[in-house]
Amino acid sequence: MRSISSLIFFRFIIILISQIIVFNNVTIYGSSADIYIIFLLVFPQNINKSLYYFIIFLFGIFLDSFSNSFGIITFSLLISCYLRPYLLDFSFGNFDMRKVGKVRDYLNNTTIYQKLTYISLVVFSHNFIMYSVEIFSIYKIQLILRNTTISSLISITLILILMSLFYYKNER
Amino acid sequence: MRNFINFFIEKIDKIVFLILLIISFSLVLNRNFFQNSKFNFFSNNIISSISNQTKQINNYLNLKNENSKLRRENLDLKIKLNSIFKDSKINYYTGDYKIKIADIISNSIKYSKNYLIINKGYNDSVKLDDGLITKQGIIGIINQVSPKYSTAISILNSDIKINAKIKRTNHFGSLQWGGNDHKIMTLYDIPKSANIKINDTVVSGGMSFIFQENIPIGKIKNIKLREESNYYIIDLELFEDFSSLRSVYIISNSNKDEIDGLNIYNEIY
Repeated sequence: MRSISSLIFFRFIIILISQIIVFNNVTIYGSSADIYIIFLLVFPQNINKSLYYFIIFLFGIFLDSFSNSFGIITFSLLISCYLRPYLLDFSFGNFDMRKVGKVRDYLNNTTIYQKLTYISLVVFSHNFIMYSVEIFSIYKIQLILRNTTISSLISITLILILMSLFYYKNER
Repeated sequence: MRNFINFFIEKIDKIVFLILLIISFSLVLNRNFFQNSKFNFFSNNIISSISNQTKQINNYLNLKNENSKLRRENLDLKIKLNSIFKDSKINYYTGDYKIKIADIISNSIKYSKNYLIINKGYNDSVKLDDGLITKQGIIGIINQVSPKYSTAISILNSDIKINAKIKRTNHFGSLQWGGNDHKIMTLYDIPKSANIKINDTVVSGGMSFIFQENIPIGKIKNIKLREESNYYIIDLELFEDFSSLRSVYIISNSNKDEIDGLNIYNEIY
């Protein structure tokens, strides 16, 4: 059985490389697909919290330096990683968080509606924070909402496809 | 004291979170004052060279050689053109400007403040405030230089204003990006009296020490006039497609030091 740290390490490298090399170059309606949120979505629960924040911070810094965004992704990833326990609780409410522990169990043993709620809440909040910090002007709220919606829709679709390829067991 | 240490140990995760949040927010703030910042984290050599490597994965080896050969040839032709037209009215490249070629190794169009990184630095005598152009338009302005690489503000950045004019009528205005679409920019301050039409060409204005006159930028797509105002708001479609930029020309004004001595720098480039 693989240890948890090597699992995190491999995800870190693979998701980072695929985002930088492939998905940063795919632009649809002027916004690229942010699949790096998968790293946050499936991050293990039972890990030391300060380590969790630090790994996410490092991940964000790497992403930022390769996609010309100067700290925006780091900032918004940190905030959504703070929000994530609450969103997990909200969308998978009937599960006991302390007992289950593994995010994999959430994603395997729940209905598609719960998964969709969880993924879209995390992605949407992340993108909203990212674009508000990036544009940083209340007069351009229309632009913020438009960018958030388009980029969230693209990201959610891609994340669902990718996660169903690698994560969900047969539901037939 | 003991209580304090206990408190510290209990809340260590929140404290770590806050520290990391403050660091990342200071990075974001740094970006807004990027021109003045001494903090050179994102344009350092290691990251630029890695992204240079990843960029090269995209280019087929042979195609790249072919391309650079063609560009060199193109540059020679432009220099010849320059010497031919030096004294005539068509001063596309006046003698005051020097041209170099560079490859773009990183570019973005999805934010409202976009930057790009090119593979020439001060070892190749690139200086601050040099302009980046292509055959089809203005691309940006250099704002930070390291030995082998430099970063530039893209004109797709809502902080920047470019001096531009309508080629047919010679009316001046300032060009700015609204942040919506990477093919559309907006031209302000063209007076109501100007006789402009859709599909007129917009070129660079020449009231700038960075870009010379008559570099093509785009064509007029849509003209709006607010009732209380005397100035048009014009949407123009750029000739250059920023989502598929590969290489650029760096132009530097050889009289820049002299102009800097005059100290008449203003915010419209």
